[in-house]
Amino acid sequence: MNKLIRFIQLYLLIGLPFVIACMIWSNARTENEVLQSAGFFAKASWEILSWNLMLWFAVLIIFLVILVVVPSARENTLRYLANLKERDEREEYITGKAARAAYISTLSLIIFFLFFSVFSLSVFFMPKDQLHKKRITVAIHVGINLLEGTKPEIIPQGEVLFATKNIMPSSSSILIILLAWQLLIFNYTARKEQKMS
Amino acid sequence: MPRIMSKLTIYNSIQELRHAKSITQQDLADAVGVTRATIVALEKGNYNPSLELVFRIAKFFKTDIEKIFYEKGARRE
Repeated sequence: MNKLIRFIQLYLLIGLPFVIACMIWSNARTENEVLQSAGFFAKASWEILSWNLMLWFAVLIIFLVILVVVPSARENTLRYLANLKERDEREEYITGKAARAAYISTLSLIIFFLFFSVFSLSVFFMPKDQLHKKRITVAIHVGINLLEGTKPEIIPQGEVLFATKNIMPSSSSILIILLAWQLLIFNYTARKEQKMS
Repeated sequence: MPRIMSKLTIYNSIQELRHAKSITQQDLADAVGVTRATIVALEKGNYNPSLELVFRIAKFFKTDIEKIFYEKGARRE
């Protein structure tokens, strides 16, 4: 299993420049342009790169599943990404402290994002013809949705001055923020602890 | 309910023992199986070692644990 994982890692690493090359090439020229105008060598290269692209993404999916399922693969691969150093007991202690700080701060960030996904605040500017005494209206909406697509759309009666749903980042952005935040806090705390000792 | 106790300040004579033996921090680190940074932290008093490491250090210097690690004013010669 370990040999297979190492082979997959090596292939993903070696294949990455070819994947990037294929993406750049496909942006510069369409498939039809390449196949119609280019010579044999260019056509063959295009075919090889295209097949490599498909294979690379298939292997990447397998690798991501392995990372989730196999603990040893996760440990070996992600320790480099997380910059984990556990050569002796003091470094294990520092890792523990940094992991605690990263866990707590990430938890607070998750709670923050959860709050803004459940509650949304909107400020409307009501038109004059509406029977409202106050022209500026503030509305608070509450709702939990399990799926992204099932969110009910709130249609304002007036002009929207401010709505928190408009400034909320997308799910991908939230995941990137959480990932970066966790790595940042972990590494910052680990460095701080190392300097202190 | 456990009684909250004040933090114990533990001193050590690792640096003195090391100088007496004329060995470097790296030599001691290699002998007890830790990094040099850990020996630096121990000598500065910034890190309290585990019981296992305490035993390994005492075994290396061929002396009692109490002669290496002590509370302020409680040092045994």
